[in-house]
Amino acid sequence: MKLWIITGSATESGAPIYLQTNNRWTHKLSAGHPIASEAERQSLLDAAKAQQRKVCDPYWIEVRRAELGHLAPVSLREKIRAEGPTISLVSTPFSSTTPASRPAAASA
Amino acid sequence: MYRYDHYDQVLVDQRVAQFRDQISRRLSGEITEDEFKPLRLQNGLYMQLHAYMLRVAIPYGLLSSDQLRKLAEVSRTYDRGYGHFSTRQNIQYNWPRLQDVPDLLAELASVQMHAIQTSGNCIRNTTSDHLAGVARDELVDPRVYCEIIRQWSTLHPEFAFLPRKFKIAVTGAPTADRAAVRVHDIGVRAVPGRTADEPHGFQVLVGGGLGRTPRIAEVCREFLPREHLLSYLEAILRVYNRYGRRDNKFKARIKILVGALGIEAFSEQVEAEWAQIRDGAMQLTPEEFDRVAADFSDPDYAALEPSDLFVQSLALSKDRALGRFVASNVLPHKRPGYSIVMISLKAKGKPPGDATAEQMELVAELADTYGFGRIVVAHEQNLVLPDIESRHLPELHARLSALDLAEPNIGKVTDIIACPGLDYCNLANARSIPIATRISERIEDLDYLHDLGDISLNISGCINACGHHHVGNIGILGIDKQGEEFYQLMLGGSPSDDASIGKILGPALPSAEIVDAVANVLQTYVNNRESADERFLDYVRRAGFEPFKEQLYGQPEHA
Repeated sequence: MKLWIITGSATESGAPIYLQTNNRWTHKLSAGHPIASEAERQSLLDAAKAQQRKVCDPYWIEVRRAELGHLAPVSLREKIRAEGPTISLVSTPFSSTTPASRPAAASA
Repeated sequence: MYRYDHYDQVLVDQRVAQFRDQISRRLSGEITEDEFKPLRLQNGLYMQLHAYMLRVAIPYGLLSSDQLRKLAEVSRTYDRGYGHFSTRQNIQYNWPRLQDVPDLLAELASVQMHAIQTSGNCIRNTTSDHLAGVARDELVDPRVYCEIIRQWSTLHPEFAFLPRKFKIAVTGAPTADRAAVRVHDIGVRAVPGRTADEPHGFQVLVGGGLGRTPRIAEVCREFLPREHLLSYLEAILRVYNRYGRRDNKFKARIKILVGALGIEAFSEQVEAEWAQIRDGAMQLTPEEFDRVAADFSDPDYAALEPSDLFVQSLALSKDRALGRFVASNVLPHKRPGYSIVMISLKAKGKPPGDATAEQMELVAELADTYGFGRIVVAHEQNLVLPDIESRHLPELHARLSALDLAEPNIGKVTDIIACPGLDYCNLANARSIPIATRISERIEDLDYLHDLGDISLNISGCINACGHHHVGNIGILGIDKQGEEFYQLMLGGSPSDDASIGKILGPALPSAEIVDAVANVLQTYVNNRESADERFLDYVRRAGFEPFKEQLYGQPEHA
């Protein structure tokens, strides 16, 4: 059975965010709401598009159940998008207190 | 270097205020992303995989030390402490937050910098020779003309919505194209006058480019008197704006129009348009030329003895780190006693073109201490200290080494041009940076690296070719094959006077095999070249692909 999640980029940071239930968004793909039907997928995508202040260009991605039942993206692009660059950045690791930090979770 | 006048500063300051208001309305939800997108793109703000990306213009790659310090400060305050120098001599920040962008741009405006026209279907940052003003083989300083073009093209109302983006490059060295003018929409080459009494003029090339339809530019006009530069560029842009395709994004660049019409018909159109405007207000008067040229006069060079022999002795130094650095990263300067120092941003295992705030601040300090406070960004994604007294080379090398900025690989196969690829880019199909870092880590024997001689290796993560893979002596193109990263290997490209588009060597290779394949290609060259003097590119052109195919795929080309 195929599974999908609705994703987009947070307006404030551009960071990937994933749709949960009740129109809430999270930065953790694994905490996104898995969708099992194409009808629900379209319905939730339409709802996401209506949240244009919070999210830019929402779309759906295919996900799968990985180890321990966690949701994981099927494509490499979405894996990198969810987990960050696969390279060592030339700078020191990013501090969560600096202005450009990626928040741990999006506000509802 | 050019300093903003009142008009420049007002224009940039006003743009910051306008964009601040637009961002405020986006954050409040007053305007949608669809409404905001064209506004942010006009200010160089993209949306990438993980965050917004801001591209900041560095006109023809020239920076003052104060500007470089500001770029470092901005990266530390509003980003993640580093920046990425691009193949258009610009800098990109990968992690700015939308709400911070107005303040970031205001900081840049305080040192006469901005992000205007770094995106969108307009005339982009004019690029040039990174050795402009200091090269021995230069006929004329191209920066003067680049600045004149910058002033003409900035917010030019007629060319704000072209069919597609538009890139111009200028070289002032007729026999050593370091600006890749033949792969630009318009390439401008300074050439000597046709008679002894005639001043220099320009050969104007048109229709070059990379991307999904790579094409070498053709000569649109063999000799253009210098006073007509702007009117002729305007004529080309007008013909393109009128006839360029707007129905298909992938066929909208001027190279497609030139290819469709043929260069003769295209040139006729340009000449007809030019005849209407050539003697108008855009004619460059001596006074106007002098006004701009005054900002590019030589700094106060000391009267020094020639240092070529001293530099040669350093290259043979028992200190091999210094010797290799001088041999590959130090170039002759037009003035006796001075050298040009290339700073490689391709340290082993590091993303090509990335520099930390600390590294930028060091380079700015070195430019002040040992030079005249100038730094240049090369389109190969390196930095240049253009005016270093040769006697200071050993201490300069030591200071660069301390921050991993003394990699002795300029022009060598590990001096890799690479786009951000799938690690950052919304358009990419495959990763570029990990391939670059793996290659640089693979070739760790510096004697072998230097024995290979000059070889360019360019990597793009998709067909848009931001890593210029078509014109690398070795080109690598990342592709997506059923969800897996594969890489096409190309050979024989060159962006220079002998410009050529590389050709695909054989079937694409999986990520796990591409670095071995590059090593195989290099060893095939070493085993078969006539001598160490035969460059890799010359060997490829002489021997063809068969030796490489045989070694890599185990079969001759026609087997």
